[in-house]
Amino acid sequence: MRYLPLGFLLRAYAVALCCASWIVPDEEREEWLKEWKAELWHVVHQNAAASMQQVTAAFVGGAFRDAYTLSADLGRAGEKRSYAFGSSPVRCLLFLLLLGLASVSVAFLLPGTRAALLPPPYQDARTLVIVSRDNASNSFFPSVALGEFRYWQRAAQGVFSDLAFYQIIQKQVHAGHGATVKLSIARASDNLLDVMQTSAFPTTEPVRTAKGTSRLILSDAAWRKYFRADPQIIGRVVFVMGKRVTVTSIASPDAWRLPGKADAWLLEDADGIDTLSADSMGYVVARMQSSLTRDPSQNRWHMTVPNNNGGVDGFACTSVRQYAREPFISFAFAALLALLALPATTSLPLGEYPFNPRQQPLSLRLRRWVFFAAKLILILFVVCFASLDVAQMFAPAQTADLQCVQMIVAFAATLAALRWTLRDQRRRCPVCLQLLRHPVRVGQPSRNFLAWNGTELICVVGHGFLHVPELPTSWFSTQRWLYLDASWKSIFRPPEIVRTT
Amino acid sequence: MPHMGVDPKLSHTAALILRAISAGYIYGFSVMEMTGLPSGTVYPAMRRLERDGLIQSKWEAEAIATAEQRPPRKYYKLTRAGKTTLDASLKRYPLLEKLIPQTEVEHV
Repeated sequence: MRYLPLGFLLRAYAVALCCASWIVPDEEREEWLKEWKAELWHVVHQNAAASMQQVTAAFVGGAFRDAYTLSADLGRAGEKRSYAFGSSPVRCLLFLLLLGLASVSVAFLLPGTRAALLPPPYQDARTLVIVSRDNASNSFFPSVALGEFRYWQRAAQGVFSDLAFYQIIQKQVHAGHGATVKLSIARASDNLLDVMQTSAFPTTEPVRTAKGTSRLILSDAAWRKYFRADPQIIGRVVFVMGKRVTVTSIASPDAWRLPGKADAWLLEDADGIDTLSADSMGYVVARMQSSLTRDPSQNRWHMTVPNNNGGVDGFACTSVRQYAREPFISFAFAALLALLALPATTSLPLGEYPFNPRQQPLSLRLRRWVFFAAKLILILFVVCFASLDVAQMFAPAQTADLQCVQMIVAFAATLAALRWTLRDQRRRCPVCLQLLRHPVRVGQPSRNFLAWNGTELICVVGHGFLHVPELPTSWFSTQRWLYLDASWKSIFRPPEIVRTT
Repeated sequence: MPHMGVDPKLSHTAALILRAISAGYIYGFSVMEMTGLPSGTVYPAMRRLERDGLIQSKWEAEAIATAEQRPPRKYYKLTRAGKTTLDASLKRYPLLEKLIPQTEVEHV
């Protein structure tokens, strides 16, 4: 058997003891850890090398049982429940951090949300724009008529170097052998991939298609779900809308970042697109001329086009890079609305905390505000990604509905989160940041004009009392903190904690 | 508050530990070595004995530990209530005295 160096072992066991110490309530932890570390030192130094490792490992294992027993004993005694999980400010922040990491992890697991987190796989996504009509509420709805697209192809060469048209349709695909699946198909002009300039739609296996036969590209998810990841699918002819189309490739996961949910892309030549009426609405995606995109901070351009009525129509050209940020912009907007609505749902002041330089030096006051800021940042982070996750999981397939759901969830969750953050901050001791405990009713409502009545909470460590008025008055409008000096401390500590040191 | 029973009846393990401390094994690891009990039993039991006011702990002076280049350790000794309880327990478990004979008490 190989024996590890003594220094390494001591450090490893010390780390194990530190881990066990987190089971112990805060107030007991320091002394508990000190005793176990001291005992560990003697255990290691008193045992012969041959038996030391086993003896020490068993000894450290007992620390976990001791920590658990101590924690349970104090809990049963009802003296220290304030040190339960949520009371400690560090644990509160750790809990929020874990929630944040969990919501980000879920976001990465959901294909739609993952696409919002990763950069678009298109070359120079800033100059790739989605064109939408000005009076359309946003670029999520198809707002450009095919006739307009045709006109721009001829007349807007000074604005766009290339442009493509597509519309989302729900169609049955006859995959052969009688099998039929219903797919959401982006029916597009055949230069769509050239405009996007992406390698996410691989063309490494050129498939010969007969003249007049359209190309069909399947999304990775649809290929796996409906075609059982059949590797022989490339080159197969399927029927869409009664027409023969050839499956030419499988798109990479997260390849599609443009408006509209698509399971497949049907790329049709000019003849195929011409069968659509000029009034058919769809999306236009275009490459801006390089002369118009010199300002790197610009992500949105405006275009006016004369219409048949003698007036002009306005169109917004939004870069795909900007479009990818839309979920976060929507969240920011919802959060702003929630912030504006907050005063209507709860009072904003955090209370009166009299200045006491001896008991609350600058560092402690700063710590309180740092804790508040960290809590706020973490909870907004959690809400942001959780709203994305919820929208992706429960919203219908259309992008616009998804955005609506996300905004509603984000607004409600942010409002609740801000309320909780304020309430939690008000219920914490300004010195140790532990949650205050043991609320008691003080005073009589009938004597409201003679003395205050309300709720009194206590810091179990003995830093002070919090007085929360039942009915805010001109002389007692908000909660007040009352500091207690050190001489009170022994009253608040259970006898077993007050030991000779 | 300590739980001071009129006639506290200790379990055999608790009585064994109390006897070990009384016999001069005054820190956790020595009690473990003497009784053969694991750390996960001895330390919680000692903590409960202390909570019940039968033993009391005291940290070794920092200067002594520093001089010997080791961390200070926590020593335990019986309280008056602990001695009374141990006497009662020895009547209940007479073999304890033979199991753990009295040693010269360490001075701390």
